Amino acid sequence: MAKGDAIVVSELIKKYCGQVALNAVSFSIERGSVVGLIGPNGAGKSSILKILAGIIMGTSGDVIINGCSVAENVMQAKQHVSFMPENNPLPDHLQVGEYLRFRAELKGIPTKKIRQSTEKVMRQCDLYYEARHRMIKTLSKGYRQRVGIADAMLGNNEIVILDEPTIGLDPHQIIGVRKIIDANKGSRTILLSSHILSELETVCDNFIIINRGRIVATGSLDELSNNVQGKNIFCARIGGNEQTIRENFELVGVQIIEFKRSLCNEEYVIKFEAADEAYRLLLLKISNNGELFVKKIGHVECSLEEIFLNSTRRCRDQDNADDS
Amino acid sequence: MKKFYTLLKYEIYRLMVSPATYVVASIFTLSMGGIFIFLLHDYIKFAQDIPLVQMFCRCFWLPTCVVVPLLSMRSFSEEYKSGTFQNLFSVPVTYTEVVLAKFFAVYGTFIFLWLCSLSIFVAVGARSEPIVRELAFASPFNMGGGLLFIAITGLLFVAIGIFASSLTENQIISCMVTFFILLALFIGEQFFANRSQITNLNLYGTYQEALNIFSQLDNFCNGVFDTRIVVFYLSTCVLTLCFSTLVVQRKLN
Repeated sequence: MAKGDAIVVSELIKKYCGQVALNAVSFSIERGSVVGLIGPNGAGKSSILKILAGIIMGTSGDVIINGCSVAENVMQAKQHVSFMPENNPLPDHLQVGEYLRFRAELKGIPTKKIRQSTEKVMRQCDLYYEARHRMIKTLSKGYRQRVGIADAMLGNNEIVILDEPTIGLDPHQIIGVRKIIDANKGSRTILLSSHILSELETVCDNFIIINRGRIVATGSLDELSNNVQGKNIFCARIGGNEQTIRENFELVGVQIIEFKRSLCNEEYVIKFEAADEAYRLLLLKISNNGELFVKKIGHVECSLEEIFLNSTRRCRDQDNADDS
Repeated sequence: MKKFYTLLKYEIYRLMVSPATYVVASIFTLSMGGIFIFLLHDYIKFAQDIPLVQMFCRCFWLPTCVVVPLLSMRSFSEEYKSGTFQNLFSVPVTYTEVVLAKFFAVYGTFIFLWLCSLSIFVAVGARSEPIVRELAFASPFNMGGGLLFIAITGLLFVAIGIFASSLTENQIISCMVTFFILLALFIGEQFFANRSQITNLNLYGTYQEALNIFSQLDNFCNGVFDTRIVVFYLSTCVLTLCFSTLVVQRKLN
C-alpha cells in the first residue's frame, strides 16, 4: 500500500449464491483524487461500492480503507466512508432537516456541531431554503437525489462514495453536483459510478473500468487512451495530390490507418500511427513540399466512451475466445 | 450506546407517525374496553373467586395475537421493500443495535398499550358506583402481577414479531407468520399441559404448570414470582433476537 492511497483493494472476490460477481479485483485509489467507476449493467460496480462502504462483505480478498481493513474492523472502516447508494432510498416520513440530523447523529458528529454541519450541506446542495422543512415523500426525484448527496457530504469522512449521483437530475442540477465534487477535490477522496460518461470525463482524474466482475482498465484518460488505441495515433487534414501525400507518408515509414477524402476538393483526412521521430520527419517533409499544405494535424484524443466501449468489447471477445 | 438511542428514537418516531399504529391502538383499546365491560357485567351479577383484574389479564392472549403482528410487521419488512435498509448500514451501526432498537420500539409501544388498557380500571373505578369501584380497585397487587407477567411474556412475543419481520419484505406475510407462531405458542402450551395432565406422566406438576401459560399468569397475579418463567421467556427472547440478527446479516450479504 502506497502512503498516499486512501483505498486499496486486493484480490477481492464476491460471490452471490455461488455466482461470481467480482473476480479477484485489485486496484488502489490515491488520496484526494476523484475516481470514476465505469462498467456495463451487472458488471459488479455496486457490489464493489457496497463492499468499500462496509455494507456487505467480500467472499475473500482484502479492502483497506485509510489503512484500516474492512474485513477486520468494519466499524472503524465505516467511520472513514460516506456512501450514497444507487436509487438513493430515503425514509418518507421524515423532513429533509430531520433526516440529515438523524444521519449526522448516526455518523457520530458531536451534538454541538450537528446543526452547523447539516446547514452547511443543505446550503451546498441547494436544500436549505426550498426543502429544509419539506417531507421527503413530497420531494421530486432531483431533490431526493440532492438529499442523498447532502447525506454523503455530511461529516468529515475522508472518502465519499456516490453510486449514480446524477441520475434523474436536470442539467442545472448536474452542474451543481459537479461543483460540489470540485469543491471537495483534494480534501476528500471521491469514488463515483455513473453511466453518463461525459459527466465522469469532466469531473474525474482517474477511471476504473470493470466488466463481468473484472477490472479491464485503470488510469487517467490519457493512460487509458494510450492503452486502448496505442500510443501515437495522429490525425491530419492535408490538401494536395493523393499520390504525393501517400508517397510522403511511405518515405518516412509512417503507417496509415485511415485515408479519407474530405468533402472539400483535394483535401484528405488521414489517421496514422507514428513514432515521435517519424512524426517530426513527416511534418518536415510535408511542410517542405510545395504541392501539399497541412490544414490541421495533431494527436487523437480518445473519448471516455470510446475507451469504455473498446475495453469492454475487448474483454468480451477475450471471454468468448476462452469459452470456445 | 448513543447510536442505539438515536435508532430507538427513530423507530419510535416511525411508529408514531404511522397511521397503522393508531389503527392497532384503537383496535386494542376498544377490544380491551369491550372485554372489561363484559366482565364487569358478569361480576356485578355473580360473585367470582378470581378477581376481576386477573380475569381481565387472562384475556391477554387475544389482543397479543393481533397487536404484536401488526406492530412488528413493518420493522424490517418495510425497510427491505423501500431499500432504506442498506442505507441504515452505511453508517457505523451494528446489526445488534438496529435489531434491538426495532425490538424495544415495538415492545415499548406494546407495554404502553397495556398500561392504557389497565388504566380503564382506574378511570372506571374512580367515577363509578361503590360496587364497581370495589371490583376495580379490589386487587392492585393482582394488577401489578398481571402486568409484570404480560411484560415478561411480551419480550418473547415481540421478539417473534421482529424475527418474522426480518424474514420477508412482505408485511402481510410477516404479520401472518407472527400471528400463527403466537397462536401455536398459546395453543401448543395448553395442548402439552393438558396432555401431560391426561396421561398422568411425571410431567404433571412439574412441567404442566410450567407449560401452561394461564397458570403462569395466575401465579404471577397471586404474587408467586417464578424466576424459571422469567429465565425461560428472557432466554427465548434473546435467542430469537440473535436469530433475527443473523437473518438481517444474511439478508445484507
